[in-house]
Order: sequence, then C-alpha cells, then structure tokens
Amino acid sequence: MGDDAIRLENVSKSFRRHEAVVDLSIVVPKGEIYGFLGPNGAGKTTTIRMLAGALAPTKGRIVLAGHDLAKNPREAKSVLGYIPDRPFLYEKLSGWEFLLFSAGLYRVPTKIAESRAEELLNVFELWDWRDELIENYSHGMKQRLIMAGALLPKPQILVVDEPMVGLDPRGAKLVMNIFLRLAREEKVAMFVSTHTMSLASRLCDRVGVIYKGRLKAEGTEEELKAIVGSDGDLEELFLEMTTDETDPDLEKKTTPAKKAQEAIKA
Amino acid sequence: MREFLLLLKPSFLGFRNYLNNPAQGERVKFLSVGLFALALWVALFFLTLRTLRSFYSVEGFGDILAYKAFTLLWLTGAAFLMFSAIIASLSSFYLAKDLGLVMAAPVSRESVFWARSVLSFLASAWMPAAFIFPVFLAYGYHFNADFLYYALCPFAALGVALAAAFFCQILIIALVNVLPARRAKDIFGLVGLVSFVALYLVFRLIKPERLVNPDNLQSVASYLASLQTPTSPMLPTSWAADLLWPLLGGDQSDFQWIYLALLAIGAVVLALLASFAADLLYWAGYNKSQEGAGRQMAGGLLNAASRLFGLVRDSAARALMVKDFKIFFRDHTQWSQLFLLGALMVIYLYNFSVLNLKRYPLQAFFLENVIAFLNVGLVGLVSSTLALRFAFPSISAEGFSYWIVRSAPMSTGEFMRHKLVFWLVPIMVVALILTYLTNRFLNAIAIMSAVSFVLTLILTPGLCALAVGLGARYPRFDTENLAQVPTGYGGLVFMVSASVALLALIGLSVWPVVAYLRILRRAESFGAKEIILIPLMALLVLFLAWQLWRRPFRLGRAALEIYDEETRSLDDAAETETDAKTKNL
Repeated sequence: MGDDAIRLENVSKSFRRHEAVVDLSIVVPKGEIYGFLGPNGAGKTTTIRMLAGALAPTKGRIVLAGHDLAKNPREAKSVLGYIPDRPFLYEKLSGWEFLLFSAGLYRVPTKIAESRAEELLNVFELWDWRDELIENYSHGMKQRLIMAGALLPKPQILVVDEPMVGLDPRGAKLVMNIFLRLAREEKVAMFVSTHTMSLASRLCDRVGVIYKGRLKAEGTEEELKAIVGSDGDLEELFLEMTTDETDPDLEKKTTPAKKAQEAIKA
Repeated sequence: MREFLLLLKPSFLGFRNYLNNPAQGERVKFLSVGLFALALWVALFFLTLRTLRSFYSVEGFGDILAYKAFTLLWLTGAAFLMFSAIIASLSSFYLAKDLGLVMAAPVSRESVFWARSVLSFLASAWMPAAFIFPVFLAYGYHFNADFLYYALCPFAALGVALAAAFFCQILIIALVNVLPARRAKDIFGLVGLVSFVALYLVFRLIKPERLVNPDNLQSVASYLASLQTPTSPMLPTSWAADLLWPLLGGDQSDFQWIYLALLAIGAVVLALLASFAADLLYWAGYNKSQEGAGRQMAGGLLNAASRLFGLVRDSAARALMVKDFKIFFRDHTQWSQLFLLGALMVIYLYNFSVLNLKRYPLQAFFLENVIAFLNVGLVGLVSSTLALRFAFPSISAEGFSYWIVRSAPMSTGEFMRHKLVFWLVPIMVVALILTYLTNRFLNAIAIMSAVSFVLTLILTPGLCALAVGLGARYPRFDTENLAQVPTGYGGLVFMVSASVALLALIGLSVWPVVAYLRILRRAESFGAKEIILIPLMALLVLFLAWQLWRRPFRLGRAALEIYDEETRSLDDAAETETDAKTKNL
C-alpha cells in the first residue's frame, strides 16, 4: 500500500444505459509508467477523466497517493498532474501567465512558482515565447505548455491522455525523455493512455488493455505475449485482444491483474 | 446547381437534426422561448397600435407622423439587418470552421460563394424579420388594409433584405482584401456597439420629453415641419415604404407597381455585383484571411493593475481572479460592454437629475422619499443587467479550458464563489454609487437613504449569486462569443427570476416604508400594528434575500458537478456507436 501511487478499486462508470467502464481494478506503484491501451470508445478517456477528478465513478474507489479522490478531492488532486489529449487553454493569457495561474491553483508559493516556470519553459523550449499570448502558439507548443503546467507543482502522479498528439519528432523525443527521467529519478507514477503501440512499447513498464469498458489483460509486454500465446509485437497483441473473438478467459489468465484484484479484495 | 445545393445540405441537415432530436430539457426550452417570443410579438403589436393611435390623436399630424414612422421603420430594419449581415458575412465567408473542408473540395468557387451567401443571408435576416413582423401586422390592422398590403409586404421586405445583404457582402469581400478578417470582425463589433451607445445617449440627451410639454409647443411645430421634408428616393427602404403606404394611410390611387419592380431590380443588380466582386476578390481575400490577426503580447499596464489582487490571500482564488481580470481586458467582446455600462449609468443619473418633483409642492416630500425607496428596485434592475452581462457568463467564460479548473485541487463550490466575489465587488460599487447619487438628486431624508442603502446591500449579492448560479446551471462552454451567452435561454431564465425576486422584495418593503413616511409626515407615533409588522416584514425581506443568495447557487453547483457526465455520456455513446458501425462495415 505504501508504494502504491494509483489504486483503482472495482471502478465502474455508467452513463444512463451505457456502461463505459466496468469493475476496473488497477494498481500503479511509485516510479512506474503504466500504459493504458484500448480502441476508440473502450473507456480509456472515461477512466482518465475519473482519475483526473473530472468525473465521479458510479461504483468503486480511486485512491491517489493514499488520498481517496471522493472523500478528499483537494488532497488527491494536489498530488496529481493531468495532461489531456486536446490542448484547450486560455488563449488570452501568455505562456508565462498560464504557468503562474496553474501554480496558483495548486497553491505553489510565488517565488518557487516563478523559478519553476522559468525552468520548465526552458526545458520545453518555450522561453522565447513566454510573453506571447497562447492564441499565437502552434498545437505542439500548446501541448508542451500544458505539460509544463502539469509538471510545475511537482506532482507525484501524472495522468496523460495521448501524450504525443500534435508533437513533432523532436518534441516527442523531448517529452519521452522527460517522462522517463521523472519516473526513474523522481519516482513519479504515470498513467499514460495511448493508441501508439510503439510508444507504449518503448515508454511503459506495464500495459493494461481495456476493451468495451473491461480490463482484458495486464502485464509487461513479455507477460502479455505469454498470456495470448503469441510471439508478435505489442500491436499484434493489441489487435488480438481487442476483437470480439478473444479468449473469454483471457482476463483470468493475466496474472498481475488477477493479483491486483485479489490484493484489493483482501 | 447540384454543387450549390450540396454545399447547403450540411447546414439544413444539422438544423433538421437539431429540431428532430432535441437534447434532454430542450423541449421545455423550445416551449419557453416560443412563449416568450409570442409574448414579445403581442407586446410589439399592441405597442405599435397604441403609438399609431396616439399619432392620430394630434389633429392634422397623424398621417405625417405615421408615414414618417413607417419609413423610419424600414430604415431601422435595414440598418439592423446590415449590421447583422456584416458580421454574418465575415463569419460565413472567411471565419467558419468548415471552410477548410469546403475550399479543399472539388467544387467551383462560384458555388461556394452562392452557398455561403445564402447561409449568411439567412443567418442575418431571420431576427430583424421576426421583430418587424408584428409591427407591419399592426400597421395593416390599424389602417384596415386589404389583402394586397399583406401580400406585398413579404416581397417588399425580401427586396430590401436582399439588397442590404448583398451590399454588405460586397463591402466585406472588398474590405477583407485590406484588413485581416478577424481584425475586421473585431472592429465592426466594436463600431456597432459604440454607435449603439452613442445613438442611445444622443436620443436621451435631446430630451424627447420636451415634446409633450405645452411650454415647448413652438419647437414641436418646427419639429413637425422638419418632418415633412422628403426622404431619399434612391434607397430601397423608401421604395418599400412608398410601395405600401398608399395601401395604408395614403391615397390608394398613388399605388405604383414600379416600386416593386425597383426593389426586384435593385436586389438582382446588387446580387450580380456581389457575384462579380466574389469572382474578382473572394479567393484572394480568403487566402489573406488565413493569416493571423497579428501578434499580441501580454501588456505591462494590465500586469501592474492585476497586482491589486495581491490583497486576496488564498492563492487559488487570486490566480483565478487575476486570470479573469486579464482575459476580460484582452477580449474586446468582454471589455467593450463597459461602454454599455457607462451609457446606462449616465442615462440613469441624468433621468434623476432632470426629474422635477418641485412641480408638485404639496407632495414633494412624500414623492421624493417614496421614489428614493422605489429607486432601490430600479438600481436592482441595473444590477440585474450588469449581473446578466458580466456575472452570468463568467462560468461559460472558462470555455473548453474548464478542464484546468476541474482537475485542479479546487471544488466546484469554491470555483463558483471566487467567480461570484470577482463580479460582486464592482457591481456592488456601481449599485451603491447609483443609490447615493440618486438619493442626493432627490433630497431623500437620512432614514430613507439608509433604508435604500441597506436594501441595495441585501439585494445585490442575491442578484449576483442568482446570476452565477444560473450561469452554472446553463453553461455554454462551446460559445465563440461570450457576449452572446446572456442572450440564450439561461439569460432569459435569469432575467425573469431576477424581476420576480425584485418585485417580491420591493413589494414586501413597500408597506413598512409608506407607513413610516406617513407617520413621519403627520408627526404621529407608531401604533401596535406598525411595531409588529415593520420588523416582521424586514425579517421576511432578509429571509427572501438569503434564499436568493443560497438556492440558485446550490442549484448551479449541483448542475455543474454533473455537467461533464451529461456531455460525456453523449460523447461515449456516439463513439461506441461509431465503433460498432465501423465494425459492421
């Protein structure tokens, strides 16, 4: 429990008659990058939004760094950084102003916020644009600014929806290196939703595959290969797991997922 | 022709789907907006009838005034439509989101121009047409017009509307080659607002009430003489008025079909000119409009002013307020509304400064003090207008960036409270200034001034909380123009609720105030009835104000907390459905 950064315990979410997420249990320890894969409409974004506190689960519990998101939302959200897939920002603020605004929301003291903002703008190669209004930024620049904003309060957990959308190869490489450094050196736990299998393969320590709202399989790439009984790459495993002809017992065979379920029940 | 119809199809299909598949609660919305529109039509119809009757009560001038009003009506309608057409053309020809797709499609530019032309015409013409309809109907009813008037009215209106719309389209197509489209839209929006404010101020400051004062009859006579000068014979609005007037109050033998022909020829000529201008300039202008409106840097003055918020201790509240303050002054659709506020205050105070109650010496004391009290209601209406303009859209102002606040360690209630405080302070200051100055103009006694101050202090927070609460209940995060948010259904609900609340609160306070003034004037002492009822009424007023502060805010908070779920459910359902269909394919 002490090393668990993210715990989803039997989380379900229904929208009227539609079940978007069903009985989802995932544990991500500190310093781990967890890839969350699934086709369109599988429930990835719903899960991410529940983790970010933008949606309340219909059933189950979400615990972030020991704080129950439903009972102590302020404490839980203050350890979390959220990076959505679409870079909607306040267009009439400058990049610098946006970072200070983010710092204010997370109650970071002004002096620290200013030095962190300077550092992050340099890291994300936006320093020369700091006083320009965001409406003049390109899509990739906005995406990098969102990342800088999410990292400014030094979160213990980072929830990322499609991290590389809109980034050029140079930007994508920069972001990947930052994510790896954060996980390895600062022990930040990451929950990364993506469609890009190559990215998941290179970046993530473990992946979970969600299909029709249910977690179909979970583990390292090697473990998934063993479960599916295939020798292909992650893309082939993904395709195999997200068709309707998938082995119905697949979920039971995924040892780590089963372990997590059992641990939670215990 | 096929291309042209195909390009129109998405808009019509979208509109049909919107009508056929209303979202949850939309039916109630349609019904209430429909009822409101009907009430407005009936009010406009009877107002026009009353105005016409009052014209004819002045012997000898009825026909002149009715004819002048008729020509003015056409002119005003056309001006309204032209302003609307300028903005609609800019959006439709240069700024619409689907233009990238349309321009990349293998369709002729001519078809694109005509399709956009039709769409911008419809977008700009429906509202003036809807407003003017009951007025024309009232004219026909008053003059007992025959079938020909009612049959020709739509054709005349169409002729004028087409001429005005095509004229604006030519203007815009030419202008965008000089100015970037987005900047042109900003400039026109601002010019329109400033012109409206200037007209409003000029109209009020020329003191139209002098016309009903017998002392000024000489100037009225010269005014009427000036009305008899002929109007411009070259404008389509004059052709429309001259076509229809013989069928109303004029001589039927003066009726000439030539005016209808002129209207038709005018519209066709302007359409051809618009097509010619489009052929020559539209594509070049469209390319130019794809360039940005120019770089805009964060300003130093605003940064300095925002240091005032250093007084706010909570850093999250401070961050939100500084952000709102900067965005407000950088977005012209928001700050330009301060012109309206300025005009409203000037006119309001001016009205009180020219109010001459000394004409009734015996009643002056009573009138001055009762008006000082009733003024609280008027100040309440001003506060409601300000709350509607500024506090109500403050939640929607977050736009698609609302996720930032939503995922931050800040509850929905805290977020709404910060918004409320941000707008309550300036609105309260304005309300108190208005109360103080009007009390001074009226020479209200100290106790009446105190009562009106207390009532303003109680009412204004309630009205602001109502605005923020209903703003959260009916958010429009997808809006492109924040100034349009108050004109929606939520704004209507707010104005109705605010008026009812004001009526209830002022209504409850009337009796104690009048009773107190009566006692004061007659130098009597308080009876048992007053001793019991006055504090009771005061408590009731306090209770109602408290409810106004509390309930809508809670309602808004609850709605905003589940807002995401409602929108998400539709998104997810749609995504799953698309997924299933793709699989079937």
